[in-house]
Amino acid sequence: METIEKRLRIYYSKFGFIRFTSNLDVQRIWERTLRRAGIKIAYSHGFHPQAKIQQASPLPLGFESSAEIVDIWISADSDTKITEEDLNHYLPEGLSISYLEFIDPGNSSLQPLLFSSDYEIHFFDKKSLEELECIRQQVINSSTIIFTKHNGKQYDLKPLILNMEIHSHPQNGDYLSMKLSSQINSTGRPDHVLMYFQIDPAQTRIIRTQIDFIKQ
Amino acid sequence: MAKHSSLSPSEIHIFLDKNLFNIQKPGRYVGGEYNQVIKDWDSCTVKSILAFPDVYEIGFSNIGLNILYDQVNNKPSFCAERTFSVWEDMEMAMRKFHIPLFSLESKHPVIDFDLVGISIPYETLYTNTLNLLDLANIPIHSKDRTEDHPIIVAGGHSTFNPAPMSAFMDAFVIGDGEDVFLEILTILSQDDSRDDHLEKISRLNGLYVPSRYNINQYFLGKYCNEKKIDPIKKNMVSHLPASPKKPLVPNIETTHNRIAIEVMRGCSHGCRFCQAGFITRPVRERPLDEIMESLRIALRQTGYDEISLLSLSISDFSSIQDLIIRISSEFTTANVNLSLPSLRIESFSKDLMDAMDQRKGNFTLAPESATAIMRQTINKPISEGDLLETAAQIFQQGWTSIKLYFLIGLPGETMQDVAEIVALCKKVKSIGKKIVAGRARISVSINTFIPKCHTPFQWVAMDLDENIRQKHQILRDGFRNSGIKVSFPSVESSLLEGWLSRADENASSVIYEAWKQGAKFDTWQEYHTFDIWKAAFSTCGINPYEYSHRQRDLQEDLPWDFIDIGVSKAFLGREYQKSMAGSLTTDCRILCHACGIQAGYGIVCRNLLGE
Repeated sequence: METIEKRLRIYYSKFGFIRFTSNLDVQRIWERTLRRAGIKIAYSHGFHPQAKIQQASPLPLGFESSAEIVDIWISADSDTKITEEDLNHYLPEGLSISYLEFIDPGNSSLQPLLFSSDYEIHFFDKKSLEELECIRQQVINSSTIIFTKHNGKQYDLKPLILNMEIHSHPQNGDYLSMKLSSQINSTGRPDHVLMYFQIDPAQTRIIRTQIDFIKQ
Repeated sequence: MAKHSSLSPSEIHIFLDKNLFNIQKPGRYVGGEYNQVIKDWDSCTVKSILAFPDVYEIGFSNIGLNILYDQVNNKPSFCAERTFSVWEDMEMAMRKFHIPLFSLESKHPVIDFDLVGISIPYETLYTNTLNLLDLANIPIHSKDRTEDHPIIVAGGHSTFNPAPMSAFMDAFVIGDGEDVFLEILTILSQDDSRDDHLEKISRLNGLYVPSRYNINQYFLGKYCNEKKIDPIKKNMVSHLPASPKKPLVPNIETTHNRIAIEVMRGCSHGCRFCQAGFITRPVRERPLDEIMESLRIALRQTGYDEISLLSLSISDFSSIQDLIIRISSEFTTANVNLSLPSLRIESFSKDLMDAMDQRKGNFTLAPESATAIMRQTINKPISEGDLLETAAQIFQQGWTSIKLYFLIGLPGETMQDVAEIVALCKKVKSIGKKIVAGRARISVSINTFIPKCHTPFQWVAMDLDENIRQKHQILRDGFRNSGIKVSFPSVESSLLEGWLSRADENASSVIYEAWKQGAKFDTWQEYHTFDIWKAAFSTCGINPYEYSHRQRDLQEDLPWDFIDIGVSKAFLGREYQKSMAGSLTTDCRILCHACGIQAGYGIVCRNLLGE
């Protein structure tokens, strides 16, 4: 009987300066973290074997998140008694596992099932509730929100913004949250929404708080 | 100890939060790597920062800095943090908001540390060094620093000729930096004035403190007995320092993402062009068991999947065969690859290749020259037959790609010697074709020879610009349509290195002027700073060709003579004369040629070998 590799699903957060580490680099961090923990990762076959790691949804450079998901295939003979605590010990500052589980290796990969992502936008220079409400009203009342990317291409953000809310927070200032489509070929980026409203994303802290999938 | 008011780490933190979003490769500026050490600031009696004057990705893997980082942080009352040169966009943002250069670990301004240790392995980092000090708000000139400023110490190979940078550095560590760096920190832990600290530092082994050493008196003393003073003798550690137990692992991609372990320091061959071969004598090997134990620890601690064995000439390591076999059998099951630096052609065997056949990547060979006469000149005798035989074996073992290193511009070299490089590479290529057919790849890297201090060629003139250009043309024409990839540095970048590497104290003003006029990142293709340098030499009234292209007399005093590398000037002179006569000097493991290192340090070279 052929031995089947195990599939480990990890739910983790990315906070602080490690937000300036790219998606590809985070993939390498997972590879090294598991090696440090003594867990054998499964590799693809071929001339240049690649570690089998799949991230649910790439997080743009500079964004923080409390809701990342990664699938890592590990060798069939590995121990399944891995705990969140064990692995956290081997992660660099800023990455932290909230939950992990072994899932059926035959399950579909996550990326095609992506539906939406929730983001919180916190402002370094405090914005008034009125200002934020004004943005929300514009989103609701516009029929199109055409954003021009740096390469000149345009896309309409309106159908991608599924929801927008305003939250008041006495200590850290009021903030915005939005639910944006994350489906393949129709992904909305929160920094683009901000730029449309003349807000420099560099002056905000963008946190992904949830990823939702298409119900199967 | 620092008494000035500068920014707090939290202010720097806020600057990073608000600006990094728009900076290229922001991961360079934030630290947070696995195994990073952050100590409680106030409980450290002496705080040091290790700086590398190039971007993070280049400096991160510097083995010397990593060893010092480990050594210092192992001491409870000392700390070592890190900083690197910042790229232009980051510099603009920092200057705009008056943010001084800061440490990656605690985000303290560099100026708040007690000691800044800067590694300067090559001369083309001089302007970056000045820029680094300036961004840190530290006065560029040593004489302008006060009790409020950290002590600035430089180390690395370029400091074997400290004269050009002596106006800017408070002290230089000449030779091995390990152990003596801790001694400097111990001195700084005593409550003394800056002057007293420097006075004490100047008495340590290998420490050159320009304000405490009278170079003129050294040279006068040679001719008049009563004024004699000792030269600065390089620091030499008999045993290689322990490899870091917790090596740093970067979050972003750096140039060397792998475990690098120094297995051997020094080289016994005496290739006459090679500065490292003379200044790092004697040969010291790390014992086999210690290497294996260090690798085990490093693999566990880093999660890397590649091991690199560092040394000037890895195939000379006494138990190289055993080492490679043990590495293969112990680690390669876990998808760990082994990479080796260039191998010497005459000293490795088929068995060695068998043992390292885990990965069929690039195989690197460094014949340096293509004719017998040139090989005699540089003392690297390899017969063409051996080279071709080796190439055949490499292809037969399954490698498909060979990289060859050559030098042009060597003393006495003719156009024919250069043309022979093309012919030789084509022979290697056709051997490859016979064995692995169309998969054979040959790439050739051709550097320009730059005469360096403390070598048998320290007296010779660098080859003329027009000759180098003509030689490049011969190579371009020769390799056209050959299917061989050839690369060489620009004439300008070689000239700059030639001008700076044998410069004297007067060059300080040129370096300062060039930096003032905007020269930095001189090694990066994007920055064409050559014209700035030319203008700076002219402004300072110095003809740079005097440094690079003047044949010196053997009896002449040289600006770096007061630095004693343990190898005597008389020995280097003999080697130079043998070179001109076309005669060879054997490997000193076979026969001692009395270079001076054994007598100078009271050692027996063979006792420093691993087994």
